[in-house]
Amino acid sequence: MSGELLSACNCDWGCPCNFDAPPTYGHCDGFYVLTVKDGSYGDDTLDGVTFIMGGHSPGPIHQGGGTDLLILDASASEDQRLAIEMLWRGGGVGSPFDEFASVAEVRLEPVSAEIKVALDGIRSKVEVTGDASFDLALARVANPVTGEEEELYLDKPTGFTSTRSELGMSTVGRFRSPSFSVDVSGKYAEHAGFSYAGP
Amino acid sequence: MWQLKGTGLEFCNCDPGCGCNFRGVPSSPEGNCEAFLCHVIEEGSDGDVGLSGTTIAWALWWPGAIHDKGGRGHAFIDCETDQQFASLSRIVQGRAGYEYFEVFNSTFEEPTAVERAAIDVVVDGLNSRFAVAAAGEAVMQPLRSPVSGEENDVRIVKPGGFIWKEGRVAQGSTLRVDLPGISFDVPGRHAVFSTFDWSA
Repeated sequence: MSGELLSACNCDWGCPCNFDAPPTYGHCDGFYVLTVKDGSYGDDTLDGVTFIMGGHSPGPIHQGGGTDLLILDASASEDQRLAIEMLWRGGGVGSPFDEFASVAEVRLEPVSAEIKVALDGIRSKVEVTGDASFDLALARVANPVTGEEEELYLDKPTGFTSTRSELGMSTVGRFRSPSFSVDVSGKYAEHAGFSYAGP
Repeated sequence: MWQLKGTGLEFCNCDPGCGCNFRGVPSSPEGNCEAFLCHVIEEGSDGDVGLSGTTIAWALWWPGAIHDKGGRGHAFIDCETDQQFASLSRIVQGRAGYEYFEVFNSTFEEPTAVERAAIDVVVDGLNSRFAVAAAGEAVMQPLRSPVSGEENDVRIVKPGGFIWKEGRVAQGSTLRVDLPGISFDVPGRHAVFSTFDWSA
């Protein structure tokens, strides 16, 4: 599958995890909003499917103990939602799903909701309504001295969620679901293209 | 009119990534900024004075974020002639324009100290290092995945950056400076390998 991802977490701008350093506040509350442009799983097309993976890690993500959540697009077909759930559960489906699944200790019951994504680079917005809700809006960061917008990118040829991101912040990042809620407004956010494949 | 082009080695006490790149606030355990920079000038001139082959090392210390001021600087200049030393001193002290030198000097309590010294530099990508015998040394190594141990190639791209526009992030396996008022020994922190092209 390939498409565009938006990411937001509770770290300060820049997110130290990008540099193999510990999360700013010791733990991670983070989300990936994935919009598939071209994709398939077996015989099922995934074109146009959106989904949200996220959750909480008590420390750096790779140290495990994570609580993982999955928000599925209520407008996707039953087969598409099953395919996304299979990917989320990992266990040999391909990167980055296997990596995230391998550090999950708890998997919350997947939730279906209406997911609206307005893609506009580092100014994208997400609105999720239903059994879970997520209000997310991205922006560039401002220089602390001049107040001017800062244009920032991260190139990671060795990255596994994306290899080039535009970095910014969330002006709003409020997530609510029956078993997990968090507000990461004002913290790290990014926009990137992605291309993932598995067996 | 002067121009300096070359390779930059940057080390500070922030965690790898350095919060100043994003929020302007250090992500160091100490909360302040302590840094040791080296600028290897491969091509340079200031009017009639050739500056190719010279090197600047700059030890820096601030009590908090750089823009909150109260800082100290001590620069070492490795060059052949008095004219080169005079020219590079003027540039480093922010008396010859260019945002990087003007902004940094505006955050110091006093203009940065400058003195001539030999600088030992090894430019070798993410394994570069430099040392000033009487002041300190800094050694970088590539970032490594905490899971696989493989090298991670991570670059911060800042089209509007005034020190560099693309910085390859590394870890400082050694960062040690021992000068009056600028003294630290903080291994395992932020480092950057970059190129620069400055003029004014």
